[in-house]
Amino acid sequence: MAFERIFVEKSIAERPATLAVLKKINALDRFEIIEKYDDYFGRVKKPYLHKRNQLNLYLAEKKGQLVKEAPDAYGLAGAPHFYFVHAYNCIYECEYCYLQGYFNSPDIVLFTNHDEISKEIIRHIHQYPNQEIWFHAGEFSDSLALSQISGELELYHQLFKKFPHARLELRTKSANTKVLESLDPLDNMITSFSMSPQSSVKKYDHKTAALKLRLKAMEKLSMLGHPVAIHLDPIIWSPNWESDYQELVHKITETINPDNIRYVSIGVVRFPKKMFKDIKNNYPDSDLVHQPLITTTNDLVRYRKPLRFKILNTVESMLKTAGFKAPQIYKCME
Amino acid sequence: MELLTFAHRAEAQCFFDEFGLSQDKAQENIFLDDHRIVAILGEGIEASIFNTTRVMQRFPNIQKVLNFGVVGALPHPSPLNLGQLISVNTVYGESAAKDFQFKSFSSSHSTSSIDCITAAHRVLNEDYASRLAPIAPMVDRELWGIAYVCHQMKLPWESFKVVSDFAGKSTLCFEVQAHAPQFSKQLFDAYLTSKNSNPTPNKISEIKKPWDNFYVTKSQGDKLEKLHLQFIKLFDEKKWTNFLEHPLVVDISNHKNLHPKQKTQKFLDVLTTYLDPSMARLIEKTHGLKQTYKKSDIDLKFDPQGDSEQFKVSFNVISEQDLNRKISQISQLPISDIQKWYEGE
Repeated sequence: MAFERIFVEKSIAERPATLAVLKKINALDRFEIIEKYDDYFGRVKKPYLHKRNQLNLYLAEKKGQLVKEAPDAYGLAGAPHFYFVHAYNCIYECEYCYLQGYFNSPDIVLFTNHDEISKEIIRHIHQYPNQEIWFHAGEFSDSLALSQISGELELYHQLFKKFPHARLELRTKSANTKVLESLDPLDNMITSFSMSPQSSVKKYDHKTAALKLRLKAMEKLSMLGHPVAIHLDPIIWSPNWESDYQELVHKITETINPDNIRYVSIGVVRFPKKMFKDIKNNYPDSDLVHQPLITTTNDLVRYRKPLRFKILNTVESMLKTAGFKAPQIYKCME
Repeated sequence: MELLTFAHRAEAQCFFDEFGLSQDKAQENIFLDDHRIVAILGEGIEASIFNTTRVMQRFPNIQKVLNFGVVGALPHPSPLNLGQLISVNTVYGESAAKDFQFKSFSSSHSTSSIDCITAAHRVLNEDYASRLAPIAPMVDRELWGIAYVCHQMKLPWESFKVVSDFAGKSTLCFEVQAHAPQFSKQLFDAYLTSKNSNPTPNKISEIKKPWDNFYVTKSQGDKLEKLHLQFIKLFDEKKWTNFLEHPLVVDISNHKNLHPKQKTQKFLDVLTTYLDPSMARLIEKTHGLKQTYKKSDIDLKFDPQGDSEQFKVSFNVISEQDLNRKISQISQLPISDIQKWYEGE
């Protein structure tokens, strides 16, 4: 991963976690010290597509709220869901990604104060002593894409080992499972792979791992005993969407027994209106902007209800036919 | 007409030498010939905003703005070399209070990935240069103001810069002035090169559009173009040809009792539903129900977006008997079926 420039906050420059990242990217002699990352990051509007050849890296200390409550229908129902922030932004370039309008900059921020984030996770776990509680690591970044350099997985592995009733979900579109492979499987540390038909990956998920690589990575983790899950989200309509998803479900079940997949989420593509404007600016020729979408009165851009339900119900039915059981499947954001 | 902008006259010297420019009668910082306007805007963001706006007010036929000038490279290790010519990609700005302007502007035709920041003050010490350096590798004094005005006026802009020195305490104003003729020549050459590299116009495909024979209002025309593009993107041109041969479409073209505007509307309806098949089914079903109730003078109004299962029922009452009859019929509305239609069944 080649970053154009690397900035390090003065207060954490000497910390072992920071130095470890710099060492892994061979940047011990080419970083620039700044006071605070947010003196620059998001302070000016940096065009999203600058991530292609002008991507900077910030190493910083996460301040403020370290653990946040997840939005409704974020994960399996019946348990509280939270997310913690270990990074901002992603090296991948998915055309539908909400991050393109979120931070006003595509630059990557890696937070290296994992000890403080861990303490905050533990504080939340103690609030639910006898109840399943979920933590997600992929709200603002891919959980695995940079895991070999960001170095936090080992720490969170140790943490969640102590609290079996707490669950950690790592969401990814990568096939980068090296760090996880070196760790003991934990029943409560689940790696979830976002999957789409290869035609869709090629069209919309730039720089991400190809479908077959994601499937292989999932298979490998599962064989090693790591729990895995799948997100079929966002499903994007195409003239061949039914056959594409039928083939995808077939490939999944050919790779791994449905009983060994913890859960599958399904969701159709949807955006806030403002974000859709960003997509149109960044990808004016994308098929995404020519989808049969409508703008609702509450400023959401999505398919009409009959199409949304048709897609969700059809894919749910495909999964059930392929051997998934109803409790394994949940519909996202509906 | 092109507007060529410079902060200082020395940067524009070669342009004056090569073109027979004459001074504008109304504004002394403007020079022009039949093809271009050259404006010397002065140094600083305020001056560039004020003077660019003045030129544009005086010459409303300006279609593109070009900016030429020298820049300082920001602190080492700088990826830039002295004398390097750069086509600016994105420009960031600094406010007078030494904070950053949130808005940035990108060039319409940049060939590089190098950005510029426009400083509010001359950068004469290392601290100042270091503070600007994380934003962009080079600094000028006017481009953000020009790009800001272009953004407001919806005009494309392009900027060519020559790296004259390293910004900071080593800034050598006298040396920059001494090299001005050489920098101006480089900028002039960049202008000529950009003039010669006109983009090849996109090949316009000859796609058959049946509405060329219909009566189409402005809003219908916009919608048709949008849906047509959507169709080509989602399917392909071959499928478009097949679509035009679809019996429903052929029927519209051959229909003798339809007014031309109605033909357009019908065609729009068919195209819309073709692009979202679930909508087509929904329209078919709700339309059938509407027709049934219309016979009893009961109007059903469904969500035109096809997104909500809520619908309105309206009717007039002329007697108690009429009311009871209509209530009885309304009570028989297939509500659970309607809900299923909206769930894609």
